[in-house]
Amino acid sequence: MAAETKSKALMRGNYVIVVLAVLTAIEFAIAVAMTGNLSATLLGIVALIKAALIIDYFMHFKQLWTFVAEVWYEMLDADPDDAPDDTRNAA
Amino acid sequence: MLTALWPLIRAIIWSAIGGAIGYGFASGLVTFTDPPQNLEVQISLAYVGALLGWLFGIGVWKYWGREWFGLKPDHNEIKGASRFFSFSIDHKVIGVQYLVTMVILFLLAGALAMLLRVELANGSQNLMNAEQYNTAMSLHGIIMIAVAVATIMGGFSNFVLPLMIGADDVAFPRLNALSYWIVPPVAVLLILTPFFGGFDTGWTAYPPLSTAANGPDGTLLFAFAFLTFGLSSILGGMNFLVTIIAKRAPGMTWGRLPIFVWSVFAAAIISLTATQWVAYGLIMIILERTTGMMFFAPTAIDAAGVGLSGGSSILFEHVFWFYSHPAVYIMILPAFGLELEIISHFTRKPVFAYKWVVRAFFAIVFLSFLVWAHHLFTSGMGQNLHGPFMLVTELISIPTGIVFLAALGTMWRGRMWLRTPMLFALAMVFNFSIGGLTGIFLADVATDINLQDTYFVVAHFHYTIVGGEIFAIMAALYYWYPKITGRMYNETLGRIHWAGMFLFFNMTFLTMFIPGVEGMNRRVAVYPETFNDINFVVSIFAFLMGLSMIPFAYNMANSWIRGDVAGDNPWHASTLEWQTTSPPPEENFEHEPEVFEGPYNYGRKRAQASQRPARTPAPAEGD
Amino acid sequence: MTTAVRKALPQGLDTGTMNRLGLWLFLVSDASFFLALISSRFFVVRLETPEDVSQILGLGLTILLLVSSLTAYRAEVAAEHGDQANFKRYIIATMLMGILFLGGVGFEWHEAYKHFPPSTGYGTILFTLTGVHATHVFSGVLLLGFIYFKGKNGAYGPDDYYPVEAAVKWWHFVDVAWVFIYPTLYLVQI
Ligand code: HEM
Ligand SMILES: [Cu+2]
Repeated sequence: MAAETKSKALMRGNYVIVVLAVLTAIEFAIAVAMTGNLSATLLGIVALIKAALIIDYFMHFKQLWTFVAEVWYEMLDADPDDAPDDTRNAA
Repeated sequence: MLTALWPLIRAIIWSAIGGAIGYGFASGLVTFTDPPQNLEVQISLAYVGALLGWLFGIGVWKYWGREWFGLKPDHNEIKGASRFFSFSIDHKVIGVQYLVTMVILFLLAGALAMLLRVELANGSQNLMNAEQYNTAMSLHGIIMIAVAVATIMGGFSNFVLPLMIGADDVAFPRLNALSYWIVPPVAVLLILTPFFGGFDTGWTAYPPLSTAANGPDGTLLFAFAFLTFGLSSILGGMNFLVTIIAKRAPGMTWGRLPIFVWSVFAAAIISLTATQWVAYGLIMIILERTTGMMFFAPTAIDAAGVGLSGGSSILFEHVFWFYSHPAVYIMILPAFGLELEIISHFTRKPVFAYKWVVRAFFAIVFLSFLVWAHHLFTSGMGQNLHGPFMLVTELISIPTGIVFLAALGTMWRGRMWLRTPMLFALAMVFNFSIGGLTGIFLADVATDINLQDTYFVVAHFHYTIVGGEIFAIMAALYYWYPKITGRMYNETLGRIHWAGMFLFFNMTFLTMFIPGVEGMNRRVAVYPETFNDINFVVSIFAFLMGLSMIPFAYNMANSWIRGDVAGDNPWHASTLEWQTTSPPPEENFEHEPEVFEGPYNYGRKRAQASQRPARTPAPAEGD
Repeated sequence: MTTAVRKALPQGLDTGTMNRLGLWLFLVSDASFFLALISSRFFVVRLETPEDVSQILGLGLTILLLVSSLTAYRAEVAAEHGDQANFKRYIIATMLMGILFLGGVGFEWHEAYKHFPPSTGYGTILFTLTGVHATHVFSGVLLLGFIYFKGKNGAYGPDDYYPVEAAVKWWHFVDVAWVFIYPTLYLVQI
């Protein structure tokens, strides 16, 4: 993670906060303009995007994601490689 | 000895101090609010204070606090037998602590069950009044649930799982110790409930009964106990997930994990996430009791008493079962793992359809989050939800069936070695099939509407939890007894225990289906006379089943001291935990193990070293 | 962070990776708690939001917390690059904003007690959600405080700034929780 330069990392933080501010404004506008289920759904979607930004850029989500992907992949492929299940049953 | 017990005493002193602070703080607080009707605010904060004090005294200060405050760490570990009474961070010690605690709690709750059966031997009131009966019933229930959740996920996963994957310890040893030491306060709280008026809600604690203003304070203690227990369960789940991901020995690929490890992995995902829901449910109860919030009580009702706005008690049922249904899979998934593990070793064959079993485990985890409302068919939940929840519930039978078939397939044409662990594993296969099949009637809306809250449900879940999980736990206790203690249990006594428990368990609970179908309600001390005879029979069988625990308890205690020395690998089993000494040294393995093949390579030519690297075992002795 | 309590790790992943993974899993767990909290709002009072809810306060709290996430991020970047001065400055800034946030919640409670006390449906939800969240914020402030006091003399360098990362991650998590709580409590309407 330390690979990127400091100024680049700081810039990225600034971009993220700007987008978050815009999204918050959109949120507020939705709440003012709309009511009911439609508004609630849209608000939910905007909140998800905001959360995704924070999780991905600020919290380094890939730390977790790498493992989820690995376990998932291995699970699909889990096989005690050199011990096929049915060696004995075939006999 | 006294010096060894000093940490424990210190922790008790700290919890007294914490409790006093909490109590004082709460007393000050309530003077600001208008009329404090009862002591529940004080009890709550006193408990929180006492819990924090206890954890602080038992090890948090020593292992975390000093570090945070920049003091020199103090890591002199206690040696010898007294380490079992201390905040030891050795996973084997913690495993033994869990197992012993849980076996004792199991026997205690079993004794309560005997009391219940005395009361139920006939329809009139004989031993206890209604409140006492309800308290005994609720205590029996919640203690057994705790035993069912923590014996495998706390006991066996701690002791054997790191050994099985060739690790030197779990990922977070200190946290591991913490999650054990959270358990004693739970036991203390539960044992204290009778002195606070008991609690009459059953382990499910549905409001409005559990939030009734005139209800006993015991319910509050119960809610805190369950909440605390949940915390331990969450920490444990997290720890095992990281352990399995991060601490496998070289060569221990995911495909070479013993099946038990996979099952714990799957169950840990559930404890990590679902437990938070029951925590919230209990917090809602606590808040509604202490601060008068309105989660479950409608804030306005119409003339007919139907809630117009505000809370509804169905909220609790949803939140509760969103944990408690997945929780039955915290209990049964690792039990499946144990069952397959033991059947494989005792038939000397690899687990059949290993790959599919792993997939089935994860399918069960996924589906278990989608079925909770099958407990709400008669609660007044929206009718349109009945169909979907029935369907998804019945879908779970498919992965469950795969696990079941894998057990049969593993046995198929194997040469079974019928020692006590294997006998229990076989019994579990038999019992669980009855438990699973009766579940279908409960999942089916049309039949469940009639069977809900009857003894049919009671018989069903005893078949799944006792017949399924407890039998698997017994199998595992006997299987790993030589590894844990270094000594062999007495085989004859083990078989007597097995025969008695298997026979009388089935007689008790098969018979119990009959009053259930005829409509006898659960959670009652007094019932119509028509059910007298059948209940008398059930009670007799239940006492006999209780008697079968005596050889078990005696065997476990006596063999630990006087049993024959077992040797490192009495079962000539192939997985890693048997390739070290019994009991294992502190660092688990003399050399870091390296794994070259799958866990169950029985009956194949062993070209290179294997999961049993050190020695080639002698062929199994006859029976 | 785990000092070699018992023995060095001879195998598997390194301690840093394990700690990160463990923290992540704990966050997943805590997130499901917030999921339960938020979903109960829609059960108890559906989309009802009383008129008296102070929208200004809600928006102010949101902005405060989002900006504090940026300063927390900057503190982490500073620690990662060994920039002691900025590390200290931003940690302090973050903590101050956290404390201000707590004050805002206190004011909110004071107001809410008049309009919708805990014995109303909305009051129940408001006090519970903000209460649980404020407890998290409080724990975050404490954690940042520990980090500050341990790190002010340069305890965290580019190679061992994990504690900073952990505390900051916790702070971001609390922020994410608020990202969902804000619309849930203030913005949805019938
Ligand atoms: C094929 C699998 C299963 C099905 C279809 C099934 C279905 C059900 C249903 C529908 C109920 C609600 C009954 C009612 O209250 O009317 C129920 C109750 C229960 N089941 Fe199962 N179940 C299955 C397996 C299990 C397993 C594996 C366990 C535990 C290890 C378990 C433990 C319980 C418990 C504890 C209750 C009663 C809860 C209470 O009200 O106190 N079940 N089951
Ligand atoms: Cu269920």
